[in-house]
Amino acid sequence: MSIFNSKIRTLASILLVLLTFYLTILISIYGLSHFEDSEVNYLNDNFKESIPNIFACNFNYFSIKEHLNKEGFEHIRFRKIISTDEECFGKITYTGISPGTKFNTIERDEYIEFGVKQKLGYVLWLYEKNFLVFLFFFLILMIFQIKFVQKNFFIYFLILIFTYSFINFDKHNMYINSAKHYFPNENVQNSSLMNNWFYNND
Amino acid sequence: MIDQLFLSVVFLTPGLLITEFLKTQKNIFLTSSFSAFFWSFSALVIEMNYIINTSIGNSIISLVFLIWFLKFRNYKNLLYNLFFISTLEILNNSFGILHLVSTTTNTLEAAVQNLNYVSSSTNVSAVQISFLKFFNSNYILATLPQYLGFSLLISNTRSITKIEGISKKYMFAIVPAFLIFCVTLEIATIRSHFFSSQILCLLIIETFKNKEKRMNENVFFIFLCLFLSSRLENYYLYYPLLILLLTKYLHHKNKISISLKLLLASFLPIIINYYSLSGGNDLRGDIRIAIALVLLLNIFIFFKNKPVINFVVSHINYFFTIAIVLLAFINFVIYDFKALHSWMFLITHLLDTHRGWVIVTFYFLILLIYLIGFSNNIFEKRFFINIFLTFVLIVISAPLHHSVYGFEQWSTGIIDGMAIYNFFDESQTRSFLQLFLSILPFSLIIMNPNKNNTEAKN
Repeated sequence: MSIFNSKIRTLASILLVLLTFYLTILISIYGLSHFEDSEVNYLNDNFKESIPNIFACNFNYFSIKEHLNKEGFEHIRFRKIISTDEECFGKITYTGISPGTKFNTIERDEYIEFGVKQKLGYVLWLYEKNFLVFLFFFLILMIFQIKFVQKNFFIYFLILIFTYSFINFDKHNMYINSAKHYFPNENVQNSSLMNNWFYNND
Repeated sequence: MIDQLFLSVVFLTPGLLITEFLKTQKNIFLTSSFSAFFWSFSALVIEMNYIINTSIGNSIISLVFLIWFLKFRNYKNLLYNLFFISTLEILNNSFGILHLVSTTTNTLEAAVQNLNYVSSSTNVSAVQISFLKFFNSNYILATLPQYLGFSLLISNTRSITKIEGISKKYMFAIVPAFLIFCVTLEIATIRSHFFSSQILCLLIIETFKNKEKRMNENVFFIFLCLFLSSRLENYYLYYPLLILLLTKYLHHKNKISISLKLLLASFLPIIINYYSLSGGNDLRGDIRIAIALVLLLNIFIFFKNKPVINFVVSHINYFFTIAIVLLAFINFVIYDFKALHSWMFLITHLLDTHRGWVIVTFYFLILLIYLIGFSNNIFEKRFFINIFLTFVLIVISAPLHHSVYGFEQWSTGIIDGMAIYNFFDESQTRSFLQLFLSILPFSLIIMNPNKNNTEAKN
């Protein structure tokens, strides 16, 4: 085996082990029970087409996302907040819209904010389906690269990154605290840029 | 349109002249960088701003442009540059492709101060200040950072395709990076990270090239100067990397003239950024440290053939690792658990899915794995490991930054209820993006179908 192959294999194996280790820690902190349908069904039965009554970390991030996803709201934002309360890890902590508000009274493009708590240093991958799909393929590609070391899998990594980024670009194109988009933004056109600056510094 | 074209010509004229003197007319993508180099002096030599904002100054530059136009007739160079900058300006005027942040206001304030013939001690580099100097009562050139960055990016990817002898279609390998939202967002700001990343990339490419294929060494030194003056933190974060690059690039050069050029190229940024380095609250605002580091760098390179220096260079990554561990220990001793919070916040930021941060982190790691795997020799391998260590340094040095800009949020040490999108993480994460963009064009090496394992072995 050439030096090239052994170097790729060794480094990819180290990254794979580290990622697996980190995932194991995430599972031990957040668990996997949120994948069961019970809470999603509970939300559907008790808060049909309305914002649930959120208090004392009673619902998890995954279920609330599932509950809202079907409605096609365009500007839902989950603000991730650090917590030291173990009971609240991965749980929704507040909503920007009054609980009980019917979905049909909310505009499709209205800004809807939720707060979700997490442990410092340990991200909420396990609650984010799109990313889990990405991670699954990423790990598979790494395993393939380690196993079939004579073949260069870099192009497949690029395709995966391209696909994920392309699909999620529009979702990311939104400010954290409002429904406003980053691009396109008429306030940054050359004329506005100067006018705003001189207006503020007059 | 007339105002935009005139301002573009004012910006470009020095670059067009420099390309003639340095005989780099063929590489039309470098012209804008030479202009940026020239205009960066206007933060120090305040009188240079007369050329931009007075009618007499405008007449002088018009005359110089006319002389260049008639004497050198390098129309291709001029047309490409005018076309590219106009395209970006039109795009911004039509759709608004920029992302304005608080730094934009600071930069514009510093630029206006300079144009009013007042020096600015804002903690912003001279290169960045010059991005927003080109305006008159009707128009402002707003997309200079993007124009400069992309011009150099094109130049760098073309260089790599030429060196590797691969088809230009492989240049598309860098496209996925620009679909990651945090990368796009950073490029869209009026900051010098993107431009700085591509300057470093050019320096790396020049160092990796065979001696016969390199550009004029004066071009290398101008870009070294530009790299150090484009970001104030470049002295600190890229110090070991610069030692590696310079010892390799100047390996067979022992002339006094080369040492003098290096001295000039490394000291000039301190002079150019004198006012910026004298302001600010963090480490970057201490000009004495910058002077000491540059002096040490020059001594190091001057005595590069001595056995002790050779030993240090050949084991530089070990020394770098020890220094990082020591820095982590010092941070922990000074800031206690708050240092730990800083590191954890940064890790949370880099691994979270918001704006695709985790994707860019994975991309960076995978790219480095392949680049180390594809390294042709011990120097390249050492170099890419050094890039990884620079990434670790960015993370480990976070408490030094957070302790200054984290204010009460950081000093109380209370983390309960803090959002993960912390404004005081931003500088570190931007430095990480700069590092990522510096090595991004090298993905073309991995895509090279001609590259076989035997070659890699050699």
